[in-house]
Amino acid sequence: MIIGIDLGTTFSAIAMVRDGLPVLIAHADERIMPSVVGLTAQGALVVGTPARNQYVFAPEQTIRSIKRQMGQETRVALGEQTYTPADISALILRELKRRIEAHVGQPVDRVVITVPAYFSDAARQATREAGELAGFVVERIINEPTAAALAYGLDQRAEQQLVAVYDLGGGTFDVSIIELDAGVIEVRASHGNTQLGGDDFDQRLAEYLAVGFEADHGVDPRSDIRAWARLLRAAEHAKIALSSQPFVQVREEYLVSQAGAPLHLDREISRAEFEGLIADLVEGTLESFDAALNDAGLNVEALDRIIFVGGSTRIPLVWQMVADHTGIEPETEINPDEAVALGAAIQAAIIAGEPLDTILVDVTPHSLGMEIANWEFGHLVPDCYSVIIPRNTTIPTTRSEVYSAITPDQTAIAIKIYQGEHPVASQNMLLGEFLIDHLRPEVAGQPPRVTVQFDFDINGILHVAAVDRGSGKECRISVKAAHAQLTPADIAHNRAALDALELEGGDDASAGAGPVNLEAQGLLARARRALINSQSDQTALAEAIATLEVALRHGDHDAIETNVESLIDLIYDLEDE
Amino acid sequence: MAVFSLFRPIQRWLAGHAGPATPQSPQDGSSQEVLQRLVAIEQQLGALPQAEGLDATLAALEKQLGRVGREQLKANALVQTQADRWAEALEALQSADQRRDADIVRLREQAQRGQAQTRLELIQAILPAIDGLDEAVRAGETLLAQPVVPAAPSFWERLRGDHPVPPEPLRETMGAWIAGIRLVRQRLLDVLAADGIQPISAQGQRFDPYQHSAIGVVPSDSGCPPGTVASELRRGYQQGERIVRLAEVVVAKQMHA
Repeated sequence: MIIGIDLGTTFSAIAMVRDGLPVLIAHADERIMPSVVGLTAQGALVVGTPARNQYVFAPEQTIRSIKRQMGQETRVALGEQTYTPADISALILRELKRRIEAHVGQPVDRVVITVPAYFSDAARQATREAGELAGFVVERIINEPTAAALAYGLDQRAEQQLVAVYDLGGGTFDVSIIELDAGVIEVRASHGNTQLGGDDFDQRLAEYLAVGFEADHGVDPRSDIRAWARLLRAAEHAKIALSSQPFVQVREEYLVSQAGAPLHLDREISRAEFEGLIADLVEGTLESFDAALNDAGLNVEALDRIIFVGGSTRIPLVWQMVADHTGIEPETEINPDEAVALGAAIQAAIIAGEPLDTILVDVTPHSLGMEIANWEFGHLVPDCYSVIIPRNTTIPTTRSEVYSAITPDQTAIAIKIYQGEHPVASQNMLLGEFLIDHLRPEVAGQPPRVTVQFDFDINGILHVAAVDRGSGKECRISVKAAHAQLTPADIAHNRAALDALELEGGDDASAGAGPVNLEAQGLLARARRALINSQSDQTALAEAIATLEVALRHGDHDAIETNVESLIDLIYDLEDE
Repeated sequence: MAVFSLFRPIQRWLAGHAGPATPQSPQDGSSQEVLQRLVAIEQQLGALPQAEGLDATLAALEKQLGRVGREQLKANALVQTQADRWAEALEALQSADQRRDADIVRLREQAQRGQAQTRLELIQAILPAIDGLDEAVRAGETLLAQPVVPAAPSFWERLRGDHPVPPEPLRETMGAWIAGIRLVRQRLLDVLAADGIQPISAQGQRFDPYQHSAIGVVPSDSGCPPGTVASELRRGYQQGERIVRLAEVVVAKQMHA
């Protein structure tokens, strides 16, 4: 058995393939372990969370982010001794080894470890050495973007692909352009910012809250160590909540006191405000993206796919800006915190010759949204489709958006829930509708606003709740929506098929494109097998196969049906011999 | 074919037994008759248009028999394959049944763990509320510790003869009010205790990285030796050996001037 390890700058994770599927191995409520090593005041070695806990108290006895120094001819001090970066990483790996062995109940000796694409030979060698010092046989060192590609099953496809891996984690940002050709993966270019991540977003929001608090109350909470710690934590929670809600209430009671009197923080932050705070940072990542494309000698049209790695890619602004910049919808189906570790486990299983299934994810195959009216060039355009849960979102998921009534004296809003991709709402499939009435404006003279929440549960039921922000009144409905268990390859395929339909000006964006193609694909596979197994010359069969493939590529339904029929006849005769 | 194969020998035999040609002998006459009749039959048979057709039909019949035999063989093979498949299906169902039994046991355990997990999540969701009460009590105590400067009555108050409320009863009231908040906090802590969740004792204890997370440092002094927890920023909780939430603390450290 070979396991996979994502040895990260701030966090590390272990994964292994079990029953054909890669899974992350948790330990004591932790799915990821801080990459921190330390010596306690008593001289005991601590690795992981305990080491991180003591950093502020004993920074000279604690080592963080050793990954930044891998490959360097340097030594770090821990207690009385000095160690190489590989030694420190070995301590981290040894703890991970101990955890996985405790989990499976037997020795685990073989490992695949991931490294950044930009790692030098010296750094890679140091990583290998660290693994060996930890007691592992290092089967392979693979690049992190390659591991992500494996997690998405991209190596399974025969055709050549150019894929961008956008990795925005807690503390670092990396973007790599990789090329896949018949299962061989090669890194073409790599760029990034080792000092940019979700922690910086937290910092920006916490400072914004502090500045606002000072303006309101005249006291700067940053002067108080406890208040600042609470603000940072509140900012992190708010950031996460804003990924699925348009507003969040930030409450920190008794944050600071002034002349003895306590002061509380109690305010609402909108997603728009938060996005305003981080937009320039995200813009910077796009510059790195372009630089990587430049280094690879490609322009953005050459890219086939973009995959998202790292927890901060959950932020809707990041997705939107990358999608707008490239014209490609980034893929997020595999848990972005775990994709690299899962990919390492997959590589491990491939080397060990273990059977592998493709990861299946529960997703919404179609977008879910509601009908709204949009202001365009001074006109109110009705029957517009506002997507709340985009297609290919993993479920269960909860998303909400805020909408306002058209006029200030409007007292009711009709909520019509649709499933589909068409920008004209009524062209999609209506799932349900209800009315929310007795609306009250929040501010007199302004139209009332309503938050609409879509909660898609694991059973495929969509629960819709509309809440009037003015009165607090709530209305709910539950409807059945389509969900599917698909592999990432299927998702990309279906997306491409739908895009092809849209490109051909297909106003009938029917879901029929999907199933026909899958059936024809199955038939093609059987025909190809028959062709291989047949002893005699089968030009007719080969031609029929080719014709069907062409018909499929063009999405020509009539040609597909005719060719499917004639292919069936030919296969029948051949198997009858 | 059998008819003709006998016919020629009979004809030859009759011809051979014809003897001297005496038409009067009744035997001769009868054999002549038979011969003539046989010739006539032969002629008639030969004239039959289906003669060759019968050959062909018989050939076809032989072929059909052969085909039927092969079909029978195919059918038998098919039945055998089906029987094998049924056997496989039965085996598969049996092992699926066994797996289902194992799954039931596993799911039951999982459900129990899930319930425990849900309780823990609920408790973790309540912890911020307990934190808020902690803050309320702390703020109240800070307020009470403030030195009180009695406010001088204003000119108008003196003119009207008003008696301003002396600060002492207000402080007493506030003290009582804070005591009430402490009781509310205790209620919640009792709920946690019922699930085996206890606060982590941090204040004044030696810093333990397994239980405490250092948020800040202060210079150590006589009251607070190096390596001990000087103050608690946020309370931690544990359930037996398991840490529900780390205690966030400020640690005393030997600072070099």
